[in-house]
Amino acid sequence: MKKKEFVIGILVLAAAAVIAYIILSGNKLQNAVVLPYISHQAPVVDPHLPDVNPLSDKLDEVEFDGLFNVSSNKSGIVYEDGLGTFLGIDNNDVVSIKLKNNVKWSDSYEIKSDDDEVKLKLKKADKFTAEDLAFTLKRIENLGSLSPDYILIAQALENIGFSGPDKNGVIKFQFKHDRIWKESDIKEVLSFKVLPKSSDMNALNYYVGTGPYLAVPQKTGVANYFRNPDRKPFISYVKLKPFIDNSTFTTELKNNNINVLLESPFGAVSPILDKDKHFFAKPGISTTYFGILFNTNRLNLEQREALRAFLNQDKILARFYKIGTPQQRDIIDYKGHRNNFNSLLNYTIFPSSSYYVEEKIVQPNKNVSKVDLQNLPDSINIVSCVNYGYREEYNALISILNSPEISQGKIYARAVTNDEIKKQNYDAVIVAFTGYRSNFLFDLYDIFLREPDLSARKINLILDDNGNILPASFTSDKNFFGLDAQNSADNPDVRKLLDYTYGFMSTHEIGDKQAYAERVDKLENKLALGKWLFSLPTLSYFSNQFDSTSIELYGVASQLSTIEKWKEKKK
Amino acid sequence: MNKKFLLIFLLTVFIGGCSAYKEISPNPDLIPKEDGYIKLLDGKKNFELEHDAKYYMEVTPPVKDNFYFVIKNNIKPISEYYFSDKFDGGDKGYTKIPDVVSFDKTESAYPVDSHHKMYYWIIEKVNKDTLINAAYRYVPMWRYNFEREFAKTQLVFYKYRLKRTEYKHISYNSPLEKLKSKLKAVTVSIDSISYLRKVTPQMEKYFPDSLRIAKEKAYKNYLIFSNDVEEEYIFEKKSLALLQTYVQLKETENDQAAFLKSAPVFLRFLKSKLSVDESVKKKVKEIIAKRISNVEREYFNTIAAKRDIKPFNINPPIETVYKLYKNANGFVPKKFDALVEMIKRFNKKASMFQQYKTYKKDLDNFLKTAPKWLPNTFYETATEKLKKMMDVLPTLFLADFRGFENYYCVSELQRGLRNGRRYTRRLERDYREANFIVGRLNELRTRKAYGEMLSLLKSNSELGFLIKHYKFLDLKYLGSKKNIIGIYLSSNNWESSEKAIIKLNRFNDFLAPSFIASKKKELINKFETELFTRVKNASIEKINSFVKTHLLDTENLKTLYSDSVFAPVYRLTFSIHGETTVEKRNNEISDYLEKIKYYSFPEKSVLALYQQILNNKNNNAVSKVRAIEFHSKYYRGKNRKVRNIIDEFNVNIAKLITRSTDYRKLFVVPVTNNKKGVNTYLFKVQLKIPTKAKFPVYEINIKLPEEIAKNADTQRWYDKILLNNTEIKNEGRIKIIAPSKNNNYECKITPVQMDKEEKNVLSIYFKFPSYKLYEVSVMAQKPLIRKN
Repeated sequence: MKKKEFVIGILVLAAAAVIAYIILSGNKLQNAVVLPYISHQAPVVDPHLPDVNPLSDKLDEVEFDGLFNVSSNKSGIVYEDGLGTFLGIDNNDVVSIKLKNNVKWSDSYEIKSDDDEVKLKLKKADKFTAEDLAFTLKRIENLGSLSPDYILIAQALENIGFSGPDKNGVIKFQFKHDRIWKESDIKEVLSFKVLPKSSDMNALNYYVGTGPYLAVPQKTGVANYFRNPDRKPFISYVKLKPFIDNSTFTTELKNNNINVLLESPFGAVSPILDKDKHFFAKPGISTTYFGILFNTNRLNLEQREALRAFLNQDKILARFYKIGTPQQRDIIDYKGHRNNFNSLLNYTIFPSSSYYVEEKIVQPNKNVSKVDLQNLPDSINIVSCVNYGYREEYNALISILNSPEISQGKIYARAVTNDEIKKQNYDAVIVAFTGYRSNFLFDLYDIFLREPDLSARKINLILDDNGNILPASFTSDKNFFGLDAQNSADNPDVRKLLDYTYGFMSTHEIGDKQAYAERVDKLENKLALGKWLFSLPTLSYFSNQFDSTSIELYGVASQLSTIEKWKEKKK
Repeated sequence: MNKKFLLIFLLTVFIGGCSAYKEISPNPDLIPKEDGYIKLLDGKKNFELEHDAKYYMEVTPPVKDNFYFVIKNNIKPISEYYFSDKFDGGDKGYTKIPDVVSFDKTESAYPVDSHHKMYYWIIEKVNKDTLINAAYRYVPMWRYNFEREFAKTQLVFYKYRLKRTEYKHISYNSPLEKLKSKLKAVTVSIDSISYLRKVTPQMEKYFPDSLRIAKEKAYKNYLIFSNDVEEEYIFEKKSLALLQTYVQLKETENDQAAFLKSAPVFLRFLKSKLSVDESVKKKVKEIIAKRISNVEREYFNTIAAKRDIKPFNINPPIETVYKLYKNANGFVPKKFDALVEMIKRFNKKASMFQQYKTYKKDLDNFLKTAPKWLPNTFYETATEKLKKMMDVLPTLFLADFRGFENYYCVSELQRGLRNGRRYTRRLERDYREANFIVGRLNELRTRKAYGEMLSLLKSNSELGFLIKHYKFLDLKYLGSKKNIIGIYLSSNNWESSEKAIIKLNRFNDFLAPSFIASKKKELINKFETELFTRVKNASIEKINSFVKTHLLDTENLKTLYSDSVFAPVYRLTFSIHGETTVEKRNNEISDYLEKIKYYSFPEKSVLALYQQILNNKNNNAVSKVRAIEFHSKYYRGKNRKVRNIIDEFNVNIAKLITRSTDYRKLFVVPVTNNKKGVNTYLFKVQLKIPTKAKFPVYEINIKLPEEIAKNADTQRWYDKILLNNTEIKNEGRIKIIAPSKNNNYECKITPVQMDKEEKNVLSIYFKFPSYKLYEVSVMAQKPLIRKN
């Protein structure tokens, strides 16, 4: 009898343990937004510069505030007070902003982290001041056209700076007189993220902010984020979880190891998540496209033109998404269209989804030129580095390029180390351009001035004291194309391309943008610098742990701008 | 000098000096009995009167009554005196006894009687110092009066009494001038004698009966005088007759006509019973008989010269000549006899004809003064008068004028009588018919059936006098039609008005067509013009009232536009000027109404509704907008303001934005009609901003009503936004910035790429649980480059 009772007791305990396990294991992501990242490509948080890791820019919204924060609701974008309160604009376009005087920088708290538990203790309140704002503006001005914020501010302010504050903490910006400045426009201009004045002007990462979450630095150098006690978002934690590469992200989401996947592999509908009621998806506009960039030091113009014609992007895309096969990778574009694959194809340096193509500022030539195989080298060495994101996509492209149908025995594609790329030891290189904006602020620096190093985003922009671009910005080993403008007499088009690129990036006049875009497009077409394959769609997956109605996504880099409002679904 | 005596002396002088009247005391005293004039003396002298002095004289009353105190004097013209029965020497006025011969400048006579104690002759003023030469007399009143009258009469008698020696031997052989001179004197004298012959008998009244009976001396003198007057009168009358005859005979010796004219003078002399010497008469007869023997020719000439049919007016009458002829000659020749007979007969017939004409005149006057509306008895009376004419109208047989048949006056008289007979007979017949017609007319008159009256008269148009008399009926008829049509018109009885006008136009039984034609035409023209004007005005009034009433209607507008008010109140069918005028008039009214229907009404309604919408956008504004839309379907006008309003509310017309940064205010109304539920709203704007840009880009700012935008954070405020029929979303590169309280509920869409070559129409649909009109403002400007 005792033995029987003992057995029953053991069974009950076992059942309880199982139940407890189930409950505990089901709650392990509770009260947290858990995002994946590739372990060796930790996000770099700089609120004023774009980064190759798309997650980096998104984290700006988690950590920092602007004078005003851009958010969204059901009807579109909204501007919320951040570090300032809008008082008004006078007839002379002087904008008055009252600075908040009780906002503490995150380093005011002593943060103790013990595994999943974070404890905060207020050390000494280090509050936001006008000096912090002045520092930030100075930094943005220094960054110039490298920073989208610079373009944003320069188009609006007569001088990058402000007067004040007065005794009431009110500062004044002198806005330009060339438009009617609406409150929303002013707030858009003043939505740049603010850093504390104590920050390093050129730090790699910035951890101190006033945003809804406080950065909790980890040993790995990747920060996690905990709810700012002064802001009190609904969800306490934002955690970054490292994985080897993006190929397992969907499985990790399925296995409840993460609960938010901002970009699915291939931007495609996940077969394992698609019809799972535990998840919901939100499509977005493309932010990444693949290009094959030609090394001008290895391929002459005829060869580049021939290669451009040789590479059949339609076939590459078809193979990439296995279109028409049982393994087809379905997609949903931001307009809600399903499997509209052709819309992903790009025919110029400007992606088809960008403003410049959609509005026909540039008109891509979709006609396939007749390939003169005689102009092609016997073997074309195309490389890619799969270690800095998009491993699966890169591998797929290498495989496709090597396939006989595409290669025709001419192409030799392979994965190489980043060093090989740095050495420009290639005829052409496959590059995924991430985080591109389809609006006016399309980034040409990322294409033409980025150093051939996929581990980091280094832009080789060299200006003189007057802000004019110098030919050294096109130095052969400082860009994927091997372009060099220092001897412009030999190749005036290269110098022109540099000027046009800088003109495009530095202007805040839309008309200029359009003109330079057209020129860049034509010149690039003439120089045959690459094959612009296609864009990836953007599809985010969320665990239905979250209330889908509380999550509003918009734009490119601001998917997390509304994170403060995210809620878990009530059970 | 002793002062006491001096005072007495001065007082006496003063009293004496102030005594106003000095007494005249005749010496010898007055003797108050009937006698002749007795001189008024102061002893043996006349009294001396001083200039400006006053006098009085006491006059003793007579012993009998009915006496005059007569005082003959030489001071009457140069003094002022009077006679009174009272006087006490004072200055107050006394009762004056009138002077019965005040007109006489030499004497005065005052009635006095025996009952007074004293009379006074008071001289108030003498113009100069003078000696008064006066005599007084107490005389019975009858004697004084008779003596004064008799004296005057005698004076006349002795002045005009003919001297017998001068007239006793008047002779035909005396020179004519002498005869005429005597005739003149007798003619003058006999007038005075005739006068005395009348007045003398009247003097007998002065004599009291007792004296007449007693043959008082004065009465005897009077009788003798009366006899003398009568004798003188007869003498003068005889002398006058003789002298007249002689003078006439002498003066007409060579003038037969003048001789005949004097026939009565001669005849009167010959037949006079005055005792004229027979030889004288005989002589006169001889002269006359000799001269009258050729008188017939004169009369034949007269008859032959007569050019009328009035009675012969021969002076003297031929009967007088006939008597003179017979009296002077003893017999009358047959020829003259026949002449007299012819004239007598002619005059009788002519007189009757004159009587006829008098009666005719009476009838004519009767007809002439006939009342406008003849009484039923009028022609009976006229017939009576006619009968009188007929009664006096004689017959004329030429046999009665044998020897004179060919004289003009005779044949003319015969013709006049014949005509008169025909005339009266015809009138007699006409009056009989007229009598009947007048009775009928009077019956018709009671119901003012002027048209029937005219028709009755017209059917008896042979009765010209009746037609002429009743010509006024033409105007009466027009007047009655005028009244009737006027009543129809004023009571807006269009159909009856027009029928009456047509009837009037067709009526042609006028008695004086040529006279009335222009008036009738004028009247018809006036009435048809008035009918047209009234129909037009009534149509206008009706439609104006309709427009006023329904200006702000928002329901059943389709019914409004199919209302009969847009058709004339009456469609004209007649005009004296013809079909073209009818059509022109109908068209004028229809055109006007059409203008109201397609121009004024929708225009006014649109403006009024628009104003109401502006006044209160929350008061049924959508229905008003719907009404404006409905009106716009009918509106054909080009009023820019109205067109703008219509376009403004036409959701299918995109509202132009032509300048950047300018806010374009526009109205938004639902395109659905769910009054109690959710409605879809739509508004469109078209960007047409001049720009040099090849690819113009704008951001669109839409200022929304708070009501629409206030929940935009939890619910998308718009349904869809289309740019050139392509939907744009808050996705990708396009940003739709939500309206919020913070941005004053302003939505922004950016960047919006415009096609320079095409219409860039932005259509914004939204759903909202309301049925209202909203106002939004849309502005386009160069977009801001945005980060996200």
